[in-house]
Amino acid sequence: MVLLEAKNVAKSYGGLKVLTDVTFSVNQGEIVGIIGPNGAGKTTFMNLVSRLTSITGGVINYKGQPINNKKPHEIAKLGIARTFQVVKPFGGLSVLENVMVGAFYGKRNLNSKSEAKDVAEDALKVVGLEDVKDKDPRILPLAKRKKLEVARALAMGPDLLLLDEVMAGLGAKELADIMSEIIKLKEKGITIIAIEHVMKAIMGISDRIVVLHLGKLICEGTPSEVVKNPAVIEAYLGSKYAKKE
Amino acid sequence: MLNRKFFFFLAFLFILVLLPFVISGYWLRVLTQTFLFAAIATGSNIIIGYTGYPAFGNIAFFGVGAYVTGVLMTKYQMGFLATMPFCALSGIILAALLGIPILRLKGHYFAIATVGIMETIRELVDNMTELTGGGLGLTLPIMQGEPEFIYKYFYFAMLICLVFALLVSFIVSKIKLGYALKAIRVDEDAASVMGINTPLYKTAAWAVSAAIVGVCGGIYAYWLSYIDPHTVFVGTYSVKMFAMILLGGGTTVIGPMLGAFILELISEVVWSKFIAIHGMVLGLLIIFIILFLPKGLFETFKGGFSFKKLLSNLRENKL
Repeated sequence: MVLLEAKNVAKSYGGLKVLTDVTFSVNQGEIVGIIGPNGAGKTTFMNLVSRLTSITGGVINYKGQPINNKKPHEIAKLGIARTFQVVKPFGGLSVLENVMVGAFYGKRNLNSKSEAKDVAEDALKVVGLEDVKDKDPRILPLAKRKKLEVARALAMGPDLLLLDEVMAGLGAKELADIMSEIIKLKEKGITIIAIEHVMKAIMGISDRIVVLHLGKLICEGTPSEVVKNPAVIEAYLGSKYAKKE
Repeated sequence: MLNRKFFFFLAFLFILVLLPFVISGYWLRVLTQTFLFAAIATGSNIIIGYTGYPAFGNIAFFGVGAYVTGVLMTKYQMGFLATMPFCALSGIILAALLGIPILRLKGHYFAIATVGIMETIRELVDNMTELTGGGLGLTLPIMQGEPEFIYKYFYFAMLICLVFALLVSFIVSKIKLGYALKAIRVDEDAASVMGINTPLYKTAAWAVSAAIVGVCGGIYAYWLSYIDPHTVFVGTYSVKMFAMILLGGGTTVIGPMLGAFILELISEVVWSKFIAIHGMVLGLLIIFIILFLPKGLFETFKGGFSFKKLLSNLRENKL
């Protein structure tokens, strides 16, 4: 079953076309990786799905319904949660309270503080942050702050999770940890779209890969298909080196 | 921990309740004014500190509240206490109406827009001569009774208003709404994608804040028994309110009250001893607070007082 469908999606800022005619779909229970060089339009696509920016052309359907005109908080209530490339913990709230915000206002929309606390504690356990739940998130190392972003999104009770470079800047051990956690989330039935630059990681966890380059979709397929695609090699290495390959 | 804090607060309140029976009329007046500013700062902190929207012109609601009480008492012969819900309501309605367009702005733009609102309302009040008395002002019925009784009456009225403001601020900080406001303060985009209807919650925060400030204005009008646009729509009150929130710390419930107590008492001492340089001393104090204590006393000295922290704030020099 198709959960998210992008049809001829376009985004431009004045004369600058950031995304052009992007069409692909994400099936329920899949992990779809979006890759592409810097400036390819990956984060813009995520911003369009979460409606942080408005779409210029095309349509994005979620569970068969267009979400182009929804507001960001309405998108969240539909079951779409996301993380940010630049981690954004809510300072002034503890790690646990940060995650409780997700439980209060996401798809779960809980009103009881004790229920929100239980959900938040469960989410922290999933990402292995239960031991720092009372800490100020601003003092946590990057890897833990990234996990906090994931926990916050999980507490919302999402059906679709958008992960924006959660693996960037992590060491080998942390990378392995977060990869296994993402696979566990898939096993729980959560559909995931992940933007990533860490190729080893994204190829390792994704069922399918979508490659964007200069705002256009240049390739879509399984990780093994994508790595052999000449257009992808050219986009990443440049035509000169791609020919040598 | 909460119980200990609550016990200290009750003890502090108990002392404040007993004070009017042992101090002079002068100090009674000083404390009444301190409670007034503490309540304004505590109320305004819901939009300024919790939500991170610098409502510099929040004193507009104070002026509106003052005129609501003034007009209802003089033109409609209402009792003072009966006007209080209308003061709160005027703040709520005005903030809700203005919030829709104004709360789209952020930071300095929002701050300037609120100042613009204050100036606009002041001009309107100034020109609605039949209702408000315009520049001639409005004389309210004077409270009957011995001066000592009147002093105590307003002392307790302001104290109750302050306790009410603290209670509302405490409740807001603990309920679901408080979590949303704190998330909005840090990052509005992140808050909205987590499901927080940011325009609605910001407007709610401003309305609650305006209701408290409006009630303060109503009490102030009856206390003064005479108001004109220049005594209730006062820019320097905005500066003081902001300095109090900064000094105490905008992320806490009692920070603004603490800031108000310190600043008002210092201001009173400076006023009485150095009347000629009162404004200058107050200005220097505000600069000191912004440079050395931008996060407020509570946040800066969480683990105890240290000069190192003051100096590191100066080096970082950011809010």
